[in-house]
Amino acid sequence: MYRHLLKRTAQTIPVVFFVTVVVFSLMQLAPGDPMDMLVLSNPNVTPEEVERLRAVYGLDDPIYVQYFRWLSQVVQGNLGYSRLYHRPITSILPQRLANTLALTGLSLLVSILIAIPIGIYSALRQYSVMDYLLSMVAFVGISFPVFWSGILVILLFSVVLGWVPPGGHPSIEPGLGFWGQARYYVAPVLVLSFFSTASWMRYMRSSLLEVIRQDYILTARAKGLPGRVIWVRHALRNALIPIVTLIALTIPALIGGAVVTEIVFSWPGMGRLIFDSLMNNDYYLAMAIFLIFGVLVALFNLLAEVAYAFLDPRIRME
Amino acid sequence: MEPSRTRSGVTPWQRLRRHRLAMISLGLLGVIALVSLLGPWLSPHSYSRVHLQQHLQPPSASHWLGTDELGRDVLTRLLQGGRVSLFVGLTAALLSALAGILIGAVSGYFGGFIDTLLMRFTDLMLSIPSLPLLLILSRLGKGTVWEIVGILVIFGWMSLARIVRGSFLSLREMQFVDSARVMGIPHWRIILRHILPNTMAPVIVYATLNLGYAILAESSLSYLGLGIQPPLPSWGNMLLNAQHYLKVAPWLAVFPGLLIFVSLLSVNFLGDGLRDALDPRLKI
Repeated sequence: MYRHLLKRTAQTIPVVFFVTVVVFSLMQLAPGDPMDMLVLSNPNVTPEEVERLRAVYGLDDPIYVQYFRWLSQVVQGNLGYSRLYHRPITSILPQRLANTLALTGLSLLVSILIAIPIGIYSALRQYSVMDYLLSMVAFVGISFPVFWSGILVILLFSVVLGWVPPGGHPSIEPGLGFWGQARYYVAPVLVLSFFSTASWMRYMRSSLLEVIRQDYILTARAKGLPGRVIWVRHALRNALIPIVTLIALTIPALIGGAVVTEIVFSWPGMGRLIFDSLMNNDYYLAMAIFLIFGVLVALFNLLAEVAYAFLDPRIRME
Repeated sequence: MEPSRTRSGVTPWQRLRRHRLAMISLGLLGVIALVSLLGPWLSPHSYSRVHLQQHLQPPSASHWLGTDELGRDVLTRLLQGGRVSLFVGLTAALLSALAGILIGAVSGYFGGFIDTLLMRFTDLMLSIPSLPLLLILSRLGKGTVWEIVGILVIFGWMSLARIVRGSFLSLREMQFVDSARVMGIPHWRIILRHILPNTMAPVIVYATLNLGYAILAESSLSYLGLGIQPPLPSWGNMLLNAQHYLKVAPWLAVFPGLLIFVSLLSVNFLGDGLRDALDPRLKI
């Protein structure tokens, strides 16, 4: 078990390394060499001065030297300086990350709470009219582009009905009570959880139907166990194992969806930040955010493995 | 295994035709594609000419779906946008399918070091969050149609590569492959003529789903202003300014999104129908 987990942990290292290489290579491609920016902001700088500064900042060193110099700074928690906000990037990120995690976490919770019971219900009533309707709803859910459902939700709940703000974050309105703050969460959480609810209820349904065909369910029936015990203790518990992994594995997609959702609703999280930084040519900030996303996803994947190993004794025994 | 189904003489095409939703979807996609293709001949308006006097008009007899903030006919732009969005989607899906098949086939057929190398790389590509990277890459580019296609292909081949590799791993142990080798048939011919046709069922299903992914990714990028660049319309970039005019001109936001939604829904239904028709055992 511990060897298994150790191996899995070791496997996330190349992923994180790969992400840093991608980030660094993209930084080389990004327009707006620091020296060009300097010349742009101060036309009086002489070419000799530029040469001198390039040497001082090590911009003429071999690329791998620059990479490792950059990496050692990143590991020490120095992600560079944001041109857009005129602040060190590490001082911008925590608040934004907290906002994103609040949004994705809440959506995750909502999706799980809705998708799992519905998926179970569909499996129990396989081929019923309700099952058919729910699977239609699931298809609609996975086909709905987040940006369009976002716009429609704003149109309906904000422009027409005026129930919720058309975007933004409770922090822009200080002194709000709990419900006042919650209003800001309704629309983005609704939009973001719609997609994952739709796909997870399908997975829950097929996972349960898969398990119910297994021999040990037949054994349980043969022993004369009551239906409820078979479904809950034998079928459901086993059917939930792949769902747990799946949920952890779709977190990258959730983060991707959150990026678009945050942009639609002007939610001040990491997604909105990466968009604003790209639009303002602040590539270093954008890369830093991508780096954080990469590390987060690697961590969640690891978490999925750990959860799987804990839940499934077959993996533990290996 | 359900050999009885195939022996009963029912072809996959006949099975697909029984899947009503898939057939309706196929029809819808066909109509959208055809109308988009014929768009310039069907519409009396230009998709790019600006008529500021006629801006933000609601749907009427001369402008069936209204006009946008620059007075351009929305329906005409939707048709032109359909050409762009469907072209990008189809090309990206096709090219990523080809890339996935190539990588998966080489990996599964040859095995060993090549397999390890290619599959590690596939895992790496799958484990990085693609959307933020898509945003960065498209921002670094100029937003031409082929550039967007290229960016989508970079992130679109992995799942298919894995599927194809899996099939190749089991198929290459089969006796018909051994006999082909003994007959001295070159590797590339065994891959293309003997093994690949046997993996077509999952490939077609996944390629269809890839089409949905490509259409969604292109429209997301374009909606954010990072994909296809105006004045060339795509369904996504038509929504770009629509959000600002939500109060005065909601039709701007409704119709392009509706087309994206209908296309994605059709592609997903079609994928579902194809899965049932080609390989009932296949699960997603």
